[in-house]
Amino acid sequence: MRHKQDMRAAGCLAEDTATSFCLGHLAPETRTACERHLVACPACAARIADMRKAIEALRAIPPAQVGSDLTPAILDRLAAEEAWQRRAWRWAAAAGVAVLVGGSLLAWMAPKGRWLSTREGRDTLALSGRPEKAQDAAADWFCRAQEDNGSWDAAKWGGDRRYDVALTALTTLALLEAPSAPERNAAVRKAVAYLLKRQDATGLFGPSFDGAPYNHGMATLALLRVLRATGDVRLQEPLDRAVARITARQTREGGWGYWGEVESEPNLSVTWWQTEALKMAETLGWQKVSGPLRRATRWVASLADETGAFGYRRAADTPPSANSLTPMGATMILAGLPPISAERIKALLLEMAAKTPIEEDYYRTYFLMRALRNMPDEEAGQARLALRRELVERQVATAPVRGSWEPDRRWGAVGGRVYATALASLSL
Amino acid sequence: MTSEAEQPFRPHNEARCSEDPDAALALNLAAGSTAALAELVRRHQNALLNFFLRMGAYSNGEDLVQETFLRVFRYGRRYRPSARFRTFLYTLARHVWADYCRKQQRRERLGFWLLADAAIRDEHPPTPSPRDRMDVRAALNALSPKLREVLVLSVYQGLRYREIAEVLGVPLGTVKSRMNLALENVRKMLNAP
Repeated sequence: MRHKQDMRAAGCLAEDTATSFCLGHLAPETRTACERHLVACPACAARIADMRKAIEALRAIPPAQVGSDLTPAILDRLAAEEAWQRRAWRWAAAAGVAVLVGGSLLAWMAPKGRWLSTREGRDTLALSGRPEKAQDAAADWFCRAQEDNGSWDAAKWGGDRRYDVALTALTTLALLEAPSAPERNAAVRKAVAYLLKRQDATGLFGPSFDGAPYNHGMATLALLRVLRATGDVRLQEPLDRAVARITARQTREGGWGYWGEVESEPNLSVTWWQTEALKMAETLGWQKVSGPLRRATRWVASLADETGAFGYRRAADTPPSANSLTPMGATMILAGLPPISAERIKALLLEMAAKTPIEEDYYRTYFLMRALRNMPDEEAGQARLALRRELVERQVATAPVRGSWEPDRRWGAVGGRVYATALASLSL
Repeated sequence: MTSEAEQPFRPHNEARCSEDPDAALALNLAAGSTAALAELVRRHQNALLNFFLRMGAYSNGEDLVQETFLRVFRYGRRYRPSARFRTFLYTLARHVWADYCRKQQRRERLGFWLLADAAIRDEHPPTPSPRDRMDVRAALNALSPKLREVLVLSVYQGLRYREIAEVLGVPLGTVKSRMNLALENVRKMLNAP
């Protein structure tokens, strides 16, 4: 009725009538009246055609599907919550009794943290307070260590100068994850300017050498994240070239290898960063990346063996230094694997997390944390909390490098302190 | 809980099923049935995932879906059969999204400083966004949150204006005007030279 009045009053279709018409929300009689009007009014007909085109374009975005049914994970979380609540009630009851009996028992326990002496209690404390402080301290160190040109100097902090771009990109990602502060925003702004300056005419970020895909993949990912945060269209053109460069270097197999004079065999580590950048590009509306992403996922899936472990260049190919492979592969396709494989991978990851987790390197820790985040049940949550606690304990607490992490793990000689700190901070 | 989840689900009120396909399940949910929750998850998880993705979630879309259903269970007792279940569902989903966005507020703030940065502007002058680049996802991303949520709920989730007004807690006229503006903006962006 309202629509009819609109039409009579204005002669032409009112805005909301036109929208409702295009969405198919009108009652049959109003719809017929509109259709009659459209025959006689080319202006309205053109407007409707335009609007329909926009709606069709919107509806053309293919719908996503959950990787696997979320029901078990949700019921698990619900059960964990209920169990926690039951325990909390027990503590409350016990504390109540303590107050009644001992009067000052709680006052004695609380300052020393003993009142949360069960594992769950400590975890809650760690989750609520310390990670943010650790992130804050790391972000402050990043701000202090940034060069005037916006980069983080790998060599100055014990790493390989050829990876300045990768380290600046990783640090940018870590700053984007840290709580906001004006000086941190300024640091990201300078880092973006630096990264853009380091793009050459072919679209490549950083110097051309074997390890270039790390620089390029990380820089592309960091700038895409900045684009997502800011919507600044000036980043689109450099990113167009960067994304095209990634898709152009995909191997026949579907992965990416080192970019030397001779294309090397694809490997999971290089592939992970290119794929992560393409996933973000796809989310932001880049076209022609879905095909490469599908091929990459298929290739990564082919790296998993029957135990759920991932290989480096093929299934069961596990060089001694490549201890990040299973968590890395798991972050990419855990959700899409058949349940049995997913269970096996989960068991492997939990086992990995339980064994002196950060002993070897921060690269593995980062991927382990990412993979565990994909498994929102209590066991995975506890493993993450344990890792987080260990990370926080390892953070340097004294000047002049307060807030950073020591580059004393594997790859420390390549990435140095900036690398260790960026990955540790991103893992929190 | 497990044993209940394994039991076949029996609708609480068959009559309401004809009006809202989820009403009987929702009533069982209100009574604390995890079997009802499981069935509602199966029915709505994909739609909800798409809601979050189109609102701008990235790799955490499934986490947000899970969080929404946990809230559905927690607040299930507040569900009243006078409203469709999906109105209740999207009201909670919107709260989950709002909480998530609050945590990400620094991203909003970042939007201002980068645009104001002279160094980048001088070295990389703004480039036009050709039609083939400013595709529809980018247009959707460029909408303000208020316009975007109306458009997503209507065009993708298939909610009627009245339901959207209930979900957002705004008058019907506001929904209509936001929807018009959202579509007009998308149309302009897609037609931009």
